[in-house]
Amino acid sequence: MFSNAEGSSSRNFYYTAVLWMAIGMSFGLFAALLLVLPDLVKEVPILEYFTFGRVRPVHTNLVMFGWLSGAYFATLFYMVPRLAGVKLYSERLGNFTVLFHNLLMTSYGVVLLFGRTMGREYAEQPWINKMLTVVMFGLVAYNVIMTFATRKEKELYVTAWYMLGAVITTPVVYIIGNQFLFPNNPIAGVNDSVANWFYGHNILGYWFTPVGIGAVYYLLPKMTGAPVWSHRLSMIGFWVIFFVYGPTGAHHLVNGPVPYWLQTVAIAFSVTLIIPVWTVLTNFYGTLNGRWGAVKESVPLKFLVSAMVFYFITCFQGPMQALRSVSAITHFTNWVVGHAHLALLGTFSFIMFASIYYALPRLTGREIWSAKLMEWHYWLSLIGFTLFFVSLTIGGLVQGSHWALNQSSSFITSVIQQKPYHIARAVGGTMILSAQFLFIYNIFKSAVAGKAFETAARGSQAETAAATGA
Amino acid sequence: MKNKLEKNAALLGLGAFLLLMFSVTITVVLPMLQGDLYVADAAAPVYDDANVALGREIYRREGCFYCHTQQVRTIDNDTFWRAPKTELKDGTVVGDRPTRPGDYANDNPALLGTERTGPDLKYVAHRLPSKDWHIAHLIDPRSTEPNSIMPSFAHLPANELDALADYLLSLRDWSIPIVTYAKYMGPDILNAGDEMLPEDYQGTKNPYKPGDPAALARAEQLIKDKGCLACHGTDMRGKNKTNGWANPPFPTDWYKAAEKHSDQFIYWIVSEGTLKEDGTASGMPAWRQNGVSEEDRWALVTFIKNLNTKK
Repeated sequence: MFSNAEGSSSRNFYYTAVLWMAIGMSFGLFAALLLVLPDLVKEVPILEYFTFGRVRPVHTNLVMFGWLSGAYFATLFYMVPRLAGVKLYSERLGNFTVLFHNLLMTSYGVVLLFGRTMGREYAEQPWINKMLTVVMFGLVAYNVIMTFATRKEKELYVTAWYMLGAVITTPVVYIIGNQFLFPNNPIAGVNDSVANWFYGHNILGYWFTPVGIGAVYYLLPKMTGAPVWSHRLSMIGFWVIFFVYGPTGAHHLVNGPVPYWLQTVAIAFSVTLIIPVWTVLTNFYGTLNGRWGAVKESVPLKFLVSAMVFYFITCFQGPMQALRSVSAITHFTNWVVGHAHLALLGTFSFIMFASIYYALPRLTGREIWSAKLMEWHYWLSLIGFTLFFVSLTIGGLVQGSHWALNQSSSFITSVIQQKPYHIARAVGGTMILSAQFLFIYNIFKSAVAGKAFETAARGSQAETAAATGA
Repeated sequence: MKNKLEKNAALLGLGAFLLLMFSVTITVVLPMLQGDLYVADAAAPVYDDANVALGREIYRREGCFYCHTQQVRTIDNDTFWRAPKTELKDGTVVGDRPTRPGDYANDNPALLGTERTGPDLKYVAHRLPSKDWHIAHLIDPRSTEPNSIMPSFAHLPANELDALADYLLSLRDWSIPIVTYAKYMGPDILNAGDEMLPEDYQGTKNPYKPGDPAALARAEQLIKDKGCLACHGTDMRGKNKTNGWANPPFPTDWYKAAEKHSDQFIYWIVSEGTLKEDGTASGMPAWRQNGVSEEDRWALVTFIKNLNTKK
């Protein structure tokens, strides 16, 4: 029933991930519109149930697990075999995982639209779906680990480090942060929030960050033809990420009702997160230095460069807004919404766009159909996202300053003041979503009408080893 | 750099795993060992009332916590969200503080929230103790606050709205005792006279002369700050179905009140509200317990009585 063709599971994961992106982002835009037009669905049959509080988790769950994680699985199944110098351990299992992922994501969306939520941000799914999520991550981890176990290439390139670390730790983060998957929530009170944010932040630290950064370390040498500037630095970055990310979760509860020492620990570790980020950025700059001309020619490289700029901003914001004094202003405001999108959309989704443009021709043997649409996808995403991010960031500062100024009395003024920023955000969101529809159309056309991709350029293992400098 | 880790995948994976376990130990396990920190505070709500518990389920189901926090931070910016400062009979002072872990001991899940698109709700029952208000607000948020961007929950069945309102009224500092001198008269209030006055309010006297300009100016400011007109209408004629009030009984027309009621009667209503005997159910909040001083309440009375001269 499931195909065993080489590269098929990676390709299928990419195809379905972009569909989940379209669905997930559409819910995001819907939520953004509800903030501008609160009576949009009032008295509309059936739609009236889908108020902001129900739509928002559908958006976050589907973009995080449907789109980004789906694209990450594809990237793992594409890059890991090439790094290991063998085929993927089991394409058949990989294709089963594709089906499993798609069914689970359907369940994710339906369950949340029906209001069956656990009431924890990013951990909304009921326990059965959580069990299945762990199974899904387990299936991927098994395939990845077994591919490495049977590898011919003995040296582990740094991308392999990041990806191996991620698939091993992510299920652990998920299980602990989701109350050990118990249906009856054994951890109550503020510790529930502590566990929630351990997970909420570390799904970023142990899943989205390492796989994304690993992909950058793979793609950059491939696209520029130059080895990574400093191999040693990339490894330092790996260990620091896996060391300092973990205890930072409580920075989501700074100045709140959790023990003071726990906040301090979280803040201290958050600030040190600057180190691994700067190792990545230094390496990126070092590798690209003298080859900036290549960026002009290549949309995937443009996506990577923009992602790194956004990564720099988000990872400077992050440690700073963990500080008590900064958090006092920015916490609870639109600033944080902007920050979250900067990481997951501006950085990691952009990296995945680059990965898809790079990997799909090599998986399908067909060129990307339209270079012009690629340009449109890039510029519309970039401009839309910049508008989105800047409006939320400024809006957040306006909100936070207003509360600080009069100790939160006359709260409604801060709601009124947000209107222009909410509108600008919805406009930016519309541009982002339109860009993705162009992207999906381009992928579809590539699959059915793309020109043949020259086989000489198809990533052979020897070429991989040469370009990555491993 | 060539080292063992570059060849040994198992060692690499183990290293990553152990580092994660270090984090789990200090930030998940250690806080849980501080058991004494999480003993329920006297201020903490309990959810043994079935309707309140159902309300909390609905609050969670509809995702209210995505826009409303339930935590008062330890910084000045959050002062407004604190429960009112209250001195108990034995002299201890309660309320007026940031929230602590003990305030959430009975909460599962904890609904601390991360966004304040709408106001903090940890102590909302002190600011807005009227169930009528909450139900009207849930059915049509724009009827009580024209600039609200909250969705309408008119599609929820009446029993769920009732439960949700009961839950919102449970969001208070429970160490502050509920004391009320109010009588709930519903829409019949305009037919009531001074014979209704509780003992404490008989024989009280307005310190201001009718139309005292200082009192009127003070009252105007208070009306703006406390949002009186959200319910009583920007024209002060009271709201009803035709101008957007979603839930009877309807807030009183101040012109009619000025005509009908004595100074003492209005002073009593403004001070004690029109809540039911247990102080938690229906009607207008008791402004005496919501930071409006005696002088200020008399200023409001002067303002309302002064409407009699306008028409």
